[in-house]
Amino acid sequence: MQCTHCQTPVPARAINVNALVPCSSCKTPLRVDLFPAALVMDMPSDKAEALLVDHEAGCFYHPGKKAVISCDACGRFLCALCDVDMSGKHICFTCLESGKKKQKLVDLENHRTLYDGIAFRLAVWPLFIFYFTIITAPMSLFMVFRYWNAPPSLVRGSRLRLVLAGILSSLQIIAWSLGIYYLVTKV
Amino acid sequence: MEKKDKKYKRLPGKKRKTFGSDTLWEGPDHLLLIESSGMSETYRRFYYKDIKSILIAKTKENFYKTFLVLGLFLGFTVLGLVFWIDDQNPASVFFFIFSPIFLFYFLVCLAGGPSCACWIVTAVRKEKLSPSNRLRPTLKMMARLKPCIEAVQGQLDRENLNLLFENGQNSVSPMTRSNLGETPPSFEKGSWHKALFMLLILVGILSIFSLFNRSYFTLIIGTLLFFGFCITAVVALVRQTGSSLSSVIKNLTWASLGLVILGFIQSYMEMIYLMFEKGDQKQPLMNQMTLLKMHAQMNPFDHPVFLTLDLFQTVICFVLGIWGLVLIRRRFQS
Repeated sequence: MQCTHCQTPVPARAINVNALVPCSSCKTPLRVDLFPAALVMDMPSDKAEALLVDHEAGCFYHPGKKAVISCDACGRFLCALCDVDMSGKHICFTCLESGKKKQKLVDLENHRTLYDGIAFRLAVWPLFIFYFTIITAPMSLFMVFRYWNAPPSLVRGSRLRLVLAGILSSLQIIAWSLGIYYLVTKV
Repeated sequence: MEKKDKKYKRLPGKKRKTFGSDTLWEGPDHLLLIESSGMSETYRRFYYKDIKSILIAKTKENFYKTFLVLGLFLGFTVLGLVFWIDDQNPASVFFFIFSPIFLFYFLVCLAGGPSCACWIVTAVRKEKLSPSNRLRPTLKMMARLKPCIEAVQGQLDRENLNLLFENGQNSVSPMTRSNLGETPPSFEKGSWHKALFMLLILVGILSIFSLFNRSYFTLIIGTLLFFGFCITAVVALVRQTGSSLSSVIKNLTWASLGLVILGFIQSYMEMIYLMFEKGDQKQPLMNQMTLLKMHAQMNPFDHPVFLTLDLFQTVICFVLGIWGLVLIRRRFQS
């Protein structure tokens, strides 16, 4: 473990002390927390065992290998090599792939488009130059209806922004309609 | 389904960006880093069982930023007052518009507390946690995160830690292992940087001198000094690439380059101004020497914009020069 500033090795007495300790060389205050995973210098690699007797259950994907667990999604027998441990669930790589494609495995998602955020911004930002709202308000309302069931942010489950966007854009459309009606009838 | 998946708790720390922000969330078995752009979110997960270490280093970034913003606030306020008291010059409005903005930013910097950098180390990567850029929220974050990791991995007691170091495994630490493949930083003495910072101070002194006594001679000396400064800046920038010099010195060198560019732009603006202002029908095409002579005769106190730029550059020259020399001296001592 080295100081991030001067690359001097951090002594053992300065590790896991729950406080900032000045580096012995450059005096930069550092806090280093080391965990037991640091003791494992090599990544554990499970090796699939070969079948010893014929009537033993074999892996669905590697028939010659001994099955150690079944897939929690499809029930296929899996050897140690095919078993993917994910948040306590054991899944085979086929289910993993299909789960990622269908966005059923939340733990595999690494990107989400925030349609509620887009709709909300479309409803709010153009208010500063209100002429734009004649275009943006219908766009925002369309997004509210089109993406009502789209998954929101991973950490914020509510549809509050969609609701607000819907209300604001509806009000803007009503205001425009009234304005146009007033102009038409007056002329 | 989504309600059921709502399993994350927000951790202290946030990095604000122009659009969106970066945040940290505590999950049941992993730490979630969300990089949001407002329109979309990108997720990065660090599983508790994989985290080998967490490193926090206090930085002086906020201290320097606060100092700089305070300087700008004071500078703009003083200049605004000077122009206002002088003859209620409209240029003062420009300074009075910016000084409250700098004051507000100064208060924000002050309230944020000291800055820091935080890294998370796993078997395969060393990642900087961008939301943990302030010390107070980062320590709060650690107070919540550490029990989660220890609940999965257990505690690394002092005996095990000493054993790890006694076995000589610290020579190939997890962090070093994760950095394998990267070129180690080369040692750079910093002589070019020292020369650069000294030249900066010289440029600053000459700028003050030429404010009150501008002549052909000072202009030529200043130009030569400035070209020497440009060359030194470029050499220093080349030498600092991949070197062990501290990031502050490296950033100061980049800031010096910025000053060079600003100086060139100002000279160009002054030349253009002189061409339009002083050029007449008798002498429609001015050569470089004539321009230099005119430049030498120009009184900066007659042109508030150029005077402000001159003063600004002088202050920056002194700040960067003195600061850089102090850092270089500390480096030599250590």
